[in-house]
Amino acid sequence: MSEASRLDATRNPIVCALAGLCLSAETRIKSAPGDELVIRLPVENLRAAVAVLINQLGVTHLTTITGEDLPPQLTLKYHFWQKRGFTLEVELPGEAPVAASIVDLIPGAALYEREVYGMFGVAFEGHPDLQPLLLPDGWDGAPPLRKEVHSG
Amino acid sequence: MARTVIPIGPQHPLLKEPLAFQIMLEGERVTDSTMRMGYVHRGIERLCQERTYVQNIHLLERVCGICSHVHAMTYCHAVESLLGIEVPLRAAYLRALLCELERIHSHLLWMGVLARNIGLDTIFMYAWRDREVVLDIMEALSGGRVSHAINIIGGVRSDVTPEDREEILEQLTTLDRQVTRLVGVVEHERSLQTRTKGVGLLSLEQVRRYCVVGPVARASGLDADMRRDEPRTPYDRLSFNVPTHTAGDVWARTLVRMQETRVSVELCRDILKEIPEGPLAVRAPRRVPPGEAISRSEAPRGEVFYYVRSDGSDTPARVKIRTPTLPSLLTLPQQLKGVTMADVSVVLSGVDLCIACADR
Amino acid sequence: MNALIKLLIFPGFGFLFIAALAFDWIDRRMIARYHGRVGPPWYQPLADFVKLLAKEDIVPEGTHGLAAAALPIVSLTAVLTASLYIPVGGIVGASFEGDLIVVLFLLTLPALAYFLAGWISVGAYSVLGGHRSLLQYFSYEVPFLMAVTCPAILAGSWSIAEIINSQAQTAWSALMQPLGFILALIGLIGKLKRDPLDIPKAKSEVVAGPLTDFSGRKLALWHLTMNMQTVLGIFLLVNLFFGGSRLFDRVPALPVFGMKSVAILLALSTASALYARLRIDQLMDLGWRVLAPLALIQILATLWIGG
Repeated sequence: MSEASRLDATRNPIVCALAGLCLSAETRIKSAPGDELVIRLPVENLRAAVAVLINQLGVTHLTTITGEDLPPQLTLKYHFWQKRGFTLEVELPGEAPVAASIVDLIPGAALYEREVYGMFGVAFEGHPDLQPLLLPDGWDGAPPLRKEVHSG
Repeated sequence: MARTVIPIGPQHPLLKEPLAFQIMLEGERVTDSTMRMGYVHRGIERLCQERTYVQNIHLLERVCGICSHVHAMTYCHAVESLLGIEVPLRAAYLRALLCELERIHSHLLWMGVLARNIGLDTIFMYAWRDREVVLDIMEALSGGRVSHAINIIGGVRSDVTPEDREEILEQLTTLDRQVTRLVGVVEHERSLQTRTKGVGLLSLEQVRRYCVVGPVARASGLDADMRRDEPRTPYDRLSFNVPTHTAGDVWARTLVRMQETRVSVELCRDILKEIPEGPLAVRAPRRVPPGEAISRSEAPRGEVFYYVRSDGSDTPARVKIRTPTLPSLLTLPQQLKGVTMADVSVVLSGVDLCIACADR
Repeated sequence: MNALIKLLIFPGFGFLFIAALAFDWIDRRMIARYHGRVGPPWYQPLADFVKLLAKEDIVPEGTHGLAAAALPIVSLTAVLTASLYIPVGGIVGASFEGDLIVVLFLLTLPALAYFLAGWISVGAYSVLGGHRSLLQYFSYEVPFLMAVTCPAILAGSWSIAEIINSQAQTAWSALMQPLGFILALIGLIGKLKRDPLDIPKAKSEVVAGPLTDFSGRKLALWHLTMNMQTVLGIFLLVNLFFGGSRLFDRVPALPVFGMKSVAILLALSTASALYARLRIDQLMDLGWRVLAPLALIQILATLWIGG
């Protein structure tokens, strides 16, 4: 059984649709039109949740995938938009992070997953062409947005 | 049939910024293409984490040359959400004015580039001559033709005097006349139509699957515009229409952008006529409390997205930027399939690439 | 001595060199006015030529060095030889029955040399540009040749001087065969690879086409050849369609000839400013489905009227 931590979030149709899959839901992200919903899931449920969003709710627009290195975890936030923005958040272990690719569900995710791969080293299983998006050829350093990398 | 591989970029007369394509041709037909980006990657997201919130305004204006104000403004929106402050009405109107001017500037520049790439230099010269009027207005407003530095956290830093306002309204009248004439020429130019109709097709279904935004999406029938869908002041008080088209080819994109230019000129006039008196900025607290914020704006190329997370220190913990050119780049291999070599330049121009935006 | 002056000074090489630069300047100036710009000063084409002569001449590895050096010279030679037979203001180097055919043949050699320049080069752009230039050649050459033979049929002679004389008796060929003139003009645009038919050297597609890898002296010669070809093409059209330098008998020949030539040049510049570049398949479509049949109709009409 899931636990929605905010009363107003429980009435949200997205939360209702993802009830069996998510860990928590709260409107946490500030935004001028109205604070946005963040739904936390275990990483195993990501593909199922995205499938629910597409099939049941008709969500099509994935804005981007934000990666954040918060040792020892690595967080991925999938920002969607349908009349309002909302976010799916998953946590991966910092060492050798792996996640399932959603490119077959949402082809628009292809470049965003490649960027997260290059910047954070997250391997997306099932991505058709997983190479870093923005890094120079032959980049052998650590992924640039990881915390252990120091610039300058 | 001869099979060749033509490299386009990173240096090519067609591209204004470095981007590398390998186009596989059979005779004159494109069979496949690969793309490599990252030539102008400057690591801006990382750099943001090492600069203060105020320093980042300066940095983020330089993500892109053409939509510099939109980037700075969207970032300021996010930080203002974190701080829980709201900018005064006058500042919101001024920010919107510059947004619309940037949109006109970008579309006129794009029109010229498309015309040049298909050999119609005359329209290139006309469009860029009209663009000069816009640049003069922007210079009068902010002191810079392309880079404005007008956003501060809490509002804007410089104002429009009543004399300036009258002068800008006059220049807008000139601009309106010239843009109307240019749009009339473009819409009736047969050789332009012959080169762009049926090229670079994207269906509505494909636009949705690739999460495309901006004029490219609107030209395929997707009715999405952040100014109307997530309205902020003053867009919630102004009436404007969002042009869309259904054909989904480069000609449809041309029409959409040209009509958007005309809508933007009208919007500029309305903004200047209705701009309320008031302060230019509110006092923003130094310390940004911990939290996360998202802001979206409609840049000339589509929805630009900022995610800012603060951990209570004086530098942001994370700034994530999603620029509108990225999903358009994703559609390019699909658009290039089966076109002739000559159409490659039309397809690449039609998408209105801003590689600096995409690479950050 | 007289022959040497005709060869080297007027209407030969010296005059042709100056005319090439002058026509280039007028063309660029005219297009600039269409654009709303001012345009380059009068010495710009000369400055460009001198600058190119001084630049480093690089032949990329893999390009046939001897061919790369020979092709611009062959091209220039063909054009200069053709100039011997084209009257300028009534004065011509040499004239004989059939010199029109020789001129037309010589003026096709630069197109072949241009294609070969792409063929011997190593870069993808050059090869693609050469390929396109050959496709373009097949599209414009047939209508052009057919259109240009019409004045000859009307005059009953293959000598340019004879065609001019015959027009003095009847009327300008352009007035009697306007369709033929238009077709010849379009064919000339294709021959000179001017916008809207600059497909082989479309900057946004193939960078510079067959000449992408040429630089320095060789490129200067190529550009000079193209400018001279422009001049000669215009002179040929003036002679064949506008009666050479005849206006009314008392008006001096050379200024009249100059004015007619400049008028045709302005028509070419206008076409450059007005239209977007065609795609090669659109040009082939145009050439074979529209221009060639029209040229055929023009020839048949001429034969019917003349005979």
